[in-house]
Amino acid sequence: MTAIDFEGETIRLGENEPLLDGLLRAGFDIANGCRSGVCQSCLLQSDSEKLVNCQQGLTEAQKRLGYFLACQCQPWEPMAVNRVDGEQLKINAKVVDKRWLNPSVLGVTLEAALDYQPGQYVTLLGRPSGSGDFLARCYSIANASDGSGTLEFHIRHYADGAFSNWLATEVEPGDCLQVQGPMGTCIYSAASEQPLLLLAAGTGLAPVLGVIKEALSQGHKGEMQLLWAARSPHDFYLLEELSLLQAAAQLNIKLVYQEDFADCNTFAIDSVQADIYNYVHQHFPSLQGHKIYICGAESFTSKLRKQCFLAGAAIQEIAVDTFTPFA
Amino acid sequence: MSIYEKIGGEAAVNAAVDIFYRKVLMDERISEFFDTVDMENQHVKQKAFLTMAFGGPNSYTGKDMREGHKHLNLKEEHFNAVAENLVATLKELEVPQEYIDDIIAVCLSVKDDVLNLEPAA
Ligand code: HEM
Ligand code: FES
Repeated sequence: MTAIDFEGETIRLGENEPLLDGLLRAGFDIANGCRSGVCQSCLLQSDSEKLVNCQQGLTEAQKRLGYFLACQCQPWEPMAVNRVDGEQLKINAKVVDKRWLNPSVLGVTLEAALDYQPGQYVTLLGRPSGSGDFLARCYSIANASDGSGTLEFHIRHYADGAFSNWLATEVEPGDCLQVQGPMGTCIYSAASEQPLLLLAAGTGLAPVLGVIKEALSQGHKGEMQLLWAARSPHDFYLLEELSLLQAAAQLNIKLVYQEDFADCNTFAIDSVQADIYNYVHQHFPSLQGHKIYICGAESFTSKLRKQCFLAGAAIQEIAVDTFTPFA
Repeated sequence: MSIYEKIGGEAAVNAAVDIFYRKVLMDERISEFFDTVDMENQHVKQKAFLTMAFGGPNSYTGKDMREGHKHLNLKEEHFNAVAENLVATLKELEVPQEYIDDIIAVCLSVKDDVLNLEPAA
């Protein structure tokens, strides 16, 4: 039972209870989202020296200030904890466009003055009308930072997902959300001649697309191969935009879908029915010297990271963005 | 000069770690111990292992090695497999045999701790 001092009250944490859970249990209103150390919406501050394994992904300045992630913090000694001025971490963003990219992926464009690198992600915060709470969800930025002051997102719609359903059914252009971030290290950082292999599953396309656009705008010379995996050919989207990008000689795109499908030679882009893991294995037996990007759900990213590493890619040349599922 | 310095210090560890990690992941005798979702963390631990084996700066004691490996329930064959992969890695990097011998001697010096055996009387 660790005693925590919070806003002048003492609360006691249970065995292995994360600080966030303890504070919520005690009735404090603490913003939170992913509960897995990714969205940073649960940021708190402490002067304790014992902030262990709860500052991943924070900037050096934030670490020095004693910021940490409440959902990752399991203190074993008493400590005093403070709120941080959450408002100063967030900026307002106006919805300027919203359209369906396919029947289950919503494209949302926000206007926001944010300094970011394509491929990074942000936390979007909003308060759906039905629930009184602020909800926080992470999404990757899909566009290059071309000075337009807009952010594009590919948002998978879940009919029972409080946040994505709210975006799909209630939010309209002109409405405001809040944005916190940017975060993440899945960014374009390759030598100009280096071959790039970009592996995306589903809406994992978003960060990868950001990286590709940035690479092209920086005049990347090495070959770029994008393999985009999905269950069915119906899951792909933005194919016209992709085929325009592919006009750049060094970019090659392949759609890889799992399910048997009779007729998809209508695609503007090369496609193949295959198991993505076998496909990578067969077509990229040696990845030495490659820079690799892997974006998608956990099962996809962890399996391919290992596979690419074993095929010769160096660990630090494999950038991974794993989507956290939301409860 | 320690072996660690002779073979190039941290740069040598960096050169060896990916090769060594690939070998243990592909070695059926021991891959299960190293096949975790958190590859970055495992990578850091492999660097710690190599730094120690090369006689580089570390603050691990025999007791740390015992505590740190106890839950894995390691047997002689696991130890031998790690040693073999280490030797193969060093050969691939063309480390001279006399240095390899010294590195293996470091590993042998903590073998009882790693396998959680009673020290030989
Ligand atoms: C040859 C002598 C060995 C030495 C000098 C050694 C050294 C180390 C070191 C320094 C660490 C990092 C500890 C930490 O900071 O967390 C470690 C962790 C580890 N070692 Fe060894 N090791 C040896 C043998 C083995 C063997 C034979 C195996 C299994 C086949 C093994 C499996 C592991 C595993 C799985 C970890 C990570 C433990 C965890 O995360 O819980 N080691 N070892
Ligand atoms: S709730 Fe803690 S980082 Fe998302």
